Amino acid sequence: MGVAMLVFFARILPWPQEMPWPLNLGAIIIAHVSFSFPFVAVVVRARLASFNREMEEAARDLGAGEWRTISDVIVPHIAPSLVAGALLAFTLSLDDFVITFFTAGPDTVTFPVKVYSMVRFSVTPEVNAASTVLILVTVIFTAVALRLQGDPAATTGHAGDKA
Amino acid sequence: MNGARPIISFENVTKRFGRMVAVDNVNLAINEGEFFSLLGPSGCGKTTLLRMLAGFDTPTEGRILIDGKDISAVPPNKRPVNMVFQSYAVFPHMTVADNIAYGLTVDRVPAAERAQRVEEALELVQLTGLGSRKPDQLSGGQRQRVALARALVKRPRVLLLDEPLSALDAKLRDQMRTELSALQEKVGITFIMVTHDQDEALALATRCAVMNRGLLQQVASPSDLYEFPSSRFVADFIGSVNLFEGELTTDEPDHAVITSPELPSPIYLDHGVTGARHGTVWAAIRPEKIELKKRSEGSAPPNLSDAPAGANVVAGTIRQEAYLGSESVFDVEIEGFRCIKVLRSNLTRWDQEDFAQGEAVWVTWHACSPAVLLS
Repeated sequence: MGVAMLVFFARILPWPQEMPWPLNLGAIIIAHVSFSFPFVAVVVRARLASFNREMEEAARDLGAGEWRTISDVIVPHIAPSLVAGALLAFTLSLDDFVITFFTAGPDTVTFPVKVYSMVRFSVTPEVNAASTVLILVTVIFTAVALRLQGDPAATTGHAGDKA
Repeated sequence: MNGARPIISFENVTKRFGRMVAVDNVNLAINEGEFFSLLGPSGCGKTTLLRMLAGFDTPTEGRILIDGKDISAVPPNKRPVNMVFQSYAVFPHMTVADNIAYGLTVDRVPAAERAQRVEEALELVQLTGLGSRKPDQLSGGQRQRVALARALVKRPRVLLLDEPLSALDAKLRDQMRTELSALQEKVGITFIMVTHDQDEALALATRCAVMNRGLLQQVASPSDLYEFPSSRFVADFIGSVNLFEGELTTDEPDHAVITSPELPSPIYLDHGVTGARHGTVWAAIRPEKIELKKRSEGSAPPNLSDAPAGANVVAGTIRQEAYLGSESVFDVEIEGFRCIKVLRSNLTRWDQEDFAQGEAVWVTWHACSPAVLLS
């Protein structure tokens, strides 16, 4: 996929130069979105399958337009899967080396690519520090997630839709 | 129920899904203030009719008028009707009060008025004080009340109810039935209810339409549907019935006689048959309109005050008895012919012991009891 992306971006260049972020970051974003998309789609779809269409019709019946129905009824229903999908995409994106390596230019690099280039010669204190921060962040997030799961108030929001 | 001003008219409405005709050329007017019920077996098109009214389906042909205006092109959110869904479709992420207020919020009703109307609606459905609960903290019956309040708070011209009581257990259903009826009288809004449960329709509605395979079979008051069905389908669908196929052998203004190959003696009627034609007719006799009398071997049939000797009486034997508490249902085999159903109320505590399986009986009915069906 990295090779395909590389060929694709090489082919469609030159890009417009005055983009708000460096050109290479744009390429990386497009590449990451395209490989994360299926994972997120599967998660959200699974949640959407349990959506009761009558709920949507009820909102319409009560006077909501189509957009209002999406934001008031459908989004709250799929919110847990949107969060899960976001976390999944973040993890995949942070973890990815190969596709980033192929699509990144000389100016922009992501964290794993940077670390890789740093440890090619020797393990510097910066690499150690970065690893420590990453592990700490992971531990903290896991702790928070476990806490939220144990708290019934945080999960009651979507327990009632089995009716 | 006031006046005969139609609030809703279906004009030649047909709905097709691919090749399947769900609703077939329906013409129907529903009046202001009625509690109207659409009744039929599943798949008969009654729900489709309701959904077309709400705006979730559009008619393939014909048009639907509300207050004399064609609403075929109006989206569901702009129609003066509100619906109570079969699954209630209460929004799980909102509190009860937010659910009820939803329609008003969308309509940009000012907050003060909104709060007042929500409070009134909660009181109307007897949920006062539960406004801050989440739907999953409510019972099924309470959720239904939320759905009712949510629809009524918008003060619709017509309230649509899709199988409103089907998801409740038997006791609660009886209670909600009474409450629905009281509620309708209180708010005075036209209610249209879809149901496949005939008891529900008969008990609640001021007028019922019976549908089958997309066609309107009969539109009448509950008692007319039951006592004067227009076809075999209606007679059979509403309640249970003994149907006898036969021929009209006498048809005078003050009496008529049907002879049926399914019965040994003729069926005598104390009235003429209007619109009668030659050929096959059907006599429908409800099980509770048939009486049983004890019969001893070789005895003469009892004389009936309202029929000539030998008519409206047959000899039979009890084959099955089902004791249902308030009544007993008997399967009686007519000597040499078919079985018929007879229902007998248990008027005293010993009545169910009057007739036992295998006992010989006389089966009789009054001359005014059979309904004559031409189709």
